[in-house]
Amino acid sequence: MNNQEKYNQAFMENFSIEASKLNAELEYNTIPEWDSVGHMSLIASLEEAFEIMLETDDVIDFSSYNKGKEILKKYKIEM
Amino acid sequence: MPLMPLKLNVNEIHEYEQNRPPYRMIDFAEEVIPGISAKGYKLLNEDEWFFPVHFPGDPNMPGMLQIEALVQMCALTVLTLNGNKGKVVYLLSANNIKLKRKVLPGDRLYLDTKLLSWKRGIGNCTGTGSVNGEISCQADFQIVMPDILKQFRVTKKM
Repeated sequence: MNNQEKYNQAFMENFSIEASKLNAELEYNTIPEWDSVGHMSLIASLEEAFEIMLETDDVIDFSSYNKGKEILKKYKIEM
Repeated sequence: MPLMPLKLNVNEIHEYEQNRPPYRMIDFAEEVIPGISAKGYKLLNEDEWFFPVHFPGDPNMPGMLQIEALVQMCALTVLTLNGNKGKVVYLLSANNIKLKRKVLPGDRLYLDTKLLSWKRGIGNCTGTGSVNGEISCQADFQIVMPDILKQFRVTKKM
């Protein structure tokens, strides 16, 4: 599984959404599943999938599907 | 440095946890290792509020209250960590629930729980309840401490 697939899988598994919903429109609190608790589950899944530990500021800034990709670049995760 | 194991009577449990009778489902914590595990018990008195209604003529402790007892016991593992005393802990999810034996008036429900992970206010837990050495309930569950979750509130920068 490449990085993009791992990234998408984390969203799909945590939020029970289809791949077609993974786009620039997907932001924190735009779907019921991406609330404060869902956010922590997503972050935990990404940390496990990419074997990284996100800094607190990055957890807070991770506000959308696209923003997340940008943040992960800091951890040398390219998609 | 690991925190020292604690033994908590009911008054001490009330200092750490906000559940109160008749919803408090734990009476004594024999050993709480902060951040690691908690074990103890609930004594099922004859006059528990749920016995007359669950069920008339066949009183036994509802299965979901047995799971709640596991959750309350395991919550002590995080409530005894520095800075968490007296905070609210919610049950977030429960999986692999098994209910194997009736818990009856006069029984002592022994609760053995472990905190498998604790990160940013969310804990993954597992627990087993037993009466006289016979397993009555088992579950894996997640708990959440909203106070900690708030520290990671997402902000959208323009």
